[in-house]
Amino acid sequence: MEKSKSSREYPPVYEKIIPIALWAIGTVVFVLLLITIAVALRLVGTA
Amino acid sequence: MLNTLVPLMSSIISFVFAFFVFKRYVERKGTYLLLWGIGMVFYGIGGFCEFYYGTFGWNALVFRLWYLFGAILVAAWLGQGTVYLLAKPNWAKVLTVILVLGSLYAAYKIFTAQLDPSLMLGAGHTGSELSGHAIVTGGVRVLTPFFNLYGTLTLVGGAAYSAFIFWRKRVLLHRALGNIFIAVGAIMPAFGGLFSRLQIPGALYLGEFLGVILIFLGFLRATKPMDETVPAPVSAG
Repeated sequence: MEKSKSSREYPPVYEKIIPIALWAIGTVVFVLLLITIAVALRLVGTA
Repeated sequence: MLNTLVPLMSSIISFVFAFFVFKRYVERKGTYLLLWGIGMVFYGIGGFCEFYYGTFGWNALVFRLWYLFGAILVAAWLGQGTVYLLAKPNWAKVLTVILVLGSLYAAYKIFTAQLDPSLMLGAGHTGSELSGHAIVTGGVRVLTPFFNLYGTLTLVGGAAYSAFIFWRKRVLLHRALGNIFIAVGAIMPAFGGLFSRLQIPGALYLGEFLGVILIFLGFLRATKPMDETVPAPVSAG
């Protein structure tokens, strides 16, 4: 009988969730950055 | 409750979190831990000022402390910890000097600014939450997006990048998950601020509360290893 060994894989649920979470975070940060830049430009204009 | 208990809870959690981070810094050293600890103290000060305003009303000193630590510095200093963790040491040192000088300049601007709390009632704000609209003097509020831009890029970006590296290599699952929690938690106050601008009452304080909880959970998750691999099927024979 062979000994069990690591397969260098995360458990299946994390294999699915982590990339989705990373894409979601990236998308949200991108949108927030656009909003922040817009606010900054408006504040610079009124300062 | 949204304007008193929620920020008070945020503040307490932040200070408890800061204690854990400083404890880890004493045990392990690492400038990133020191900076994260300082950032969490700033988070706690911001939350306490919000609680004070919700409970006792307007106070100019409390407002200035809130704007400096809670609105301007917190994200940038937390992010600076991540910079120390991920960037080359020389870059981290240069950026820290710039951040310290920028923070001192922001402190000078805020503590010399003219305030008018009645302005918090305008521009779609109800006055129930603290708002930068109370600052009359020009050149103060304009600082906030730049600090927060830097803080968001470094803190959220750094956490997401770390999670991606661990995921790509399929190692240290607890750190991949912890960093995702930290990234999501760090986004929450920004979301809160956005919804606050859209006149949703309590959004900012709720965002900060959820944010500190998620960041704390992320920190705890990232510092505690777990069984992270799927064992290969055992073949009989």
